[in-house]
Amino acid sequence: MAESSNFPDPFDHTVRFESIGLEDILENETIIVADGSTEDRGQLPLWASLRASASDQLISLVPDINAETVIVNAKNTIHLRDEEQLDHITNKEKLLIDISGLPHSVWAPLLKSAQKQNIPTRVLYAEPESYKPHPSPASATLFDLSLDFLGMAPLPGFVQLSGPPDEDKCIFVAMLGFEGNRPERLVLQIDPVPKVIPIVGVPGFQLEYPAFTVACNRVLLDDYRAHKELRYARASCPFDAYLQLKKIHRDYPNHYMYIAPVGTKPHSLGAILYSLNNPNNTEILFDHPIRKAGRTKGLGVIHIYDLGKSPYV
Amino acid sequence: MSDIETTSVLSVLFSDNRAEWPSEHFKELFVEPTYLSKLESVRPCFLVGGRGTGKTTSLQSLKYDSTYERLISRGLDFGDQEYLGVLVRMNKNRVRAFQGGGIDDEHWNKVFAHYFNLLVCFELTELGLWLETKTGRELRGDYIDRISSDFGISSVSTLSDLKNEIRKLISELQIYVNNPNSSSNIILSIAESPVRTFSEVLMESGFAGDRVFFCCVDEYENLLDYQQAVLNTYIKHAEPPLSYKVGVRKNGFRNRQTLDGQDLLSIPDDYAEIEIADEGFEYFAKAVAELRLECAKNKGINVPTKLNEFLVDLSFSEEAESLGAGRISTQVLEELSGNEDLHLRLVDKSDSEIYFLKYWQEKTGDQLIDLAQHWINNERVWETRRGNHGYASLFWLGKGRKGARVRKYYCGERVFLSLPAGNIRYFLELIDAAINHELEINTGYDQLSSLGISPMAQTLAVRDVGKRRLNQLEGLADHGVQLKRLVLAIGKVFFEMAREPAQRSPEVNSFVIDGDKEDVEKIRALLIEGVGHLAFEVTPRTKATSNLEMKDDEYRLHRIFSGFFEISHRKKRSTKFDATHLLGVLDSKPSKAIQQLLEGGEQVGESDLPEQLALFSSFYSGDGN
Repeated sequence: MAESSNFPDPFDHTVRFESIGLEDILENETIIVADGSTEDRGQLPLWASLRASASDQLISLVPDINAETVIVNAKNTIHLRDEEQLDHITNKEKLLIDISGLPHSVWAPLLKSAQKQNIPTRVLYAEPESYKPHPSPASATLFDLSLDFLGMAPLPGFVQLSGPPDEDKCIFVAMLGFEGNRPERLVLQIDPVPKVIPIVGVPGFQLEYPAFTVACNRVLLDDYRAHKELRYARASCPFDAYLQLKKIHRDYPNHYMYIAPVGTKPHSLGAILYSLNNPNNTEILFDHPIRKAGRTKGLGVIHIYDLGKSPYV
Repeated sequence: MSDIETTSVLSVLFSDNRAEWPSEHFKELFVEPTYLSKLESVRPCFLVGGRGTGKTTSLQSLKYDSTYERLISRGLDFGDQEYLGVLVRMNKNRVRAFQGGGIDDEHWNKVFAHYFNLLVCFELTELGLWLETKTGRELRGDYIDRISSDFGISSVSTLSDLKNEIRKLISELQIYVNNPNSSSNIILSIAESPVRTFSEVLMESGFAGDRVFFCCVDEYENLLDYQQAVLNTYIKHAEPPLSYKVGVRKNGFRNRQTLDGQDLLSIPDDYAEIEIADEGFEYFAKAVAELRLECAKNKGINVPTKLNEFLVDLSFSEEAESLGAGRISTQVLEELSGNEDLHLRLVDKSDSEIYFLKYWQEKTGDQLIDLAQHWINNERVWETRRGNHGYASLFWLGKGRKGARVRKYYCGERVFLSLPAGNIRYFLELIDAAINHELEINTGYDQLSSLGISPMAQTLAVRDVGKRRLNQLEGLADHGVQLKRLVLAIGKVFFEMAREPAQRSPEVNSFVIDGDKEDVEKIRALLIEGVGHLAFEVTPRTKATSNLEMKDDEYRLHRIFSGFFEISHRKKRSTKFDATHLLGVLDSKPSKAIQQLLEGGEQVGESDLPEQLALFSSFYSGDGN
């Protein structure tokens, strides 16, 4: 790819499956998965069989509700801000992290730890088949995905204390999803109000999803006059999201970039990778949703992204 | 100037989105709030107001460079500057990092105090550098040494070096906060110490003369409770030349403790409180709008510079006639045509008087002919009656006018100053939306005549802004979805009441809560959250001396929703709602709960709902979505 020398080409670094089997796992690859996910896509049948047959190849994580700690293999509790403990988990020959059932507060610090140690890492994301509709009257949020929010707080390991050198030179990149009020709630916390640049997942997981996304976020788009700044990145592609962020930065040189990864998980992955590669002028804003049990149904396409070598230059 | 240019200049001027404001507009468009002199007093003070009430702008105006520019614009200079302010914002995403991670609270206290010291001292170095340019001198090394030693750093001889060092210390702190269990240690400065030293140094060195330093802290509500205690200690101990000015959202000052748990921060001993809502909003908002109109005029746009000329108002009779008083009046005269004498005496009256007979008939159930006779014989009684009930009758007039774009007007300076309920951001948003509607309606606007905003455009704007705020509610508050349901239900109840005058007091639009104690508590918690997020307004019925008395508070929907629900924006009469019924709105059968709140009163059919409410018809009809 012409963009950079070691940036992964999405076509060479993404594989898609209807279902995965042992043959799709690399030799000596350690797999990190969520334990006890309430979603179908969070518990792939392969993980259950591996848990029974090769449990040392599988690391099962149960996050606590406060986004502070995680229980590893039903034994040890570790702090997600304890780099040493995280490094201990990720220091493997090769890693495959299934982010489908893990909250951002868990997979993002793990990814940071793996990248820091140059561990060859692949990330798995399984799309759901469908989402649950929302009960709020004529809601901006079409689907009922979150029970509550812990509120804005940094992801573990992503605290950014320095802030922007010039508060008037900030942009807020919202990766849009179906919960239209989330980016708005985040941008409301920033003063002075930055320019809002939304990214929509196009093409979406399903044909109608981009239209749903825009409809769910119409208030944000109207209130911040953001229609003309709308950007697109393939909903299922972290690399596309990464490149879009890079392009936005190029369009707004010397701007401090707040990124709200509240859209698709692959977009969030792109955002986290971008933030790890550009730590001085990006800040992740996140609201820590408490996900509803059964918020999605079924299992859609499974994606595995080979993250290649970082940092991307 | 073309339509597009007119829109663009006006929308930049009235849009609150300050990202679009060229920075020079700050001094050009800044209007001193009425409370500025109180804020400028030496003692610490808390500036309390909801989101959008202008706290940040006021604190920003205390900053050394903003104050200086204001003085220059008035023909004064640096010698006239009495105080030097610096501003730090308590960014939620950053302050929330100072907790957890397996570290005990006492240690986080110290780490957070260090962070605050760094933030303030960074701003103070900027101020120091500015003072160096103003005085043409450099701050001596021994003074800088005193500050840097408070941070445990040495070899710093200039303010620029100190600024760089502070930046490095923030980066070190960032590494620590990201991994607080690491074995590497950082040196923590002592709470208050560097800030106090810095202000003393600037004073002793003669750089600041005898000016006071204001450390302005914005968004205090974002701080965790323990962090408020840390900063309360700074404020408690503040002594000249240092003082604190704090911006906080209503209900956001949650903890009055200091680090010494027994010692509370108290009024009036430790600080003064300025409640923005009590500080002459209308005067201020009008000045803000008129300054911007003046600015638009200077940019070549043909607009009046008086707000009351810009926002075209309707008299009572004009409004009644626009809402169909003529149709009702004709009907009344037809019904009375059998009585020639009465008919003759009425025929000279205006439509906006005659229709009122029909309203009164519906209200009382009396015979129309008796009422007409009574009017003829008691003109003064009826004049008083129209004075008391005339405004309420305008809402009734809109009833049954299917498809009408407007069923009640919201226009004129008085209404536009009242609807925002002290919120300058809402006020500007209303005007911004009204301008956009006007230019959409008035497509042939040619700049030859002065641009006035028609009652129709103003009304549509009021509706739009209400709708936008309603949609935003869902995302703003922790219980946003519940608040939205509550607002929708209460709005619908008052909408129905406004249209059904029979056996009701006019203009009922506020309520007290009553009923099961536990339910009252639940609904009260939600309403208080709603007040903080501008879903509701509250008037304490009695002075809040205990939680029990607070239960008698009188609530109403925030006035910004008046146009959306087509109810009166004026605070008039209240009703009593049963807490259990209100909670019912949050369940799966909101229509049942609404019916109970209406005490069985009739509701308009789905097809008669105004367009903006029809959007929620499935919620109102009962399936809860």
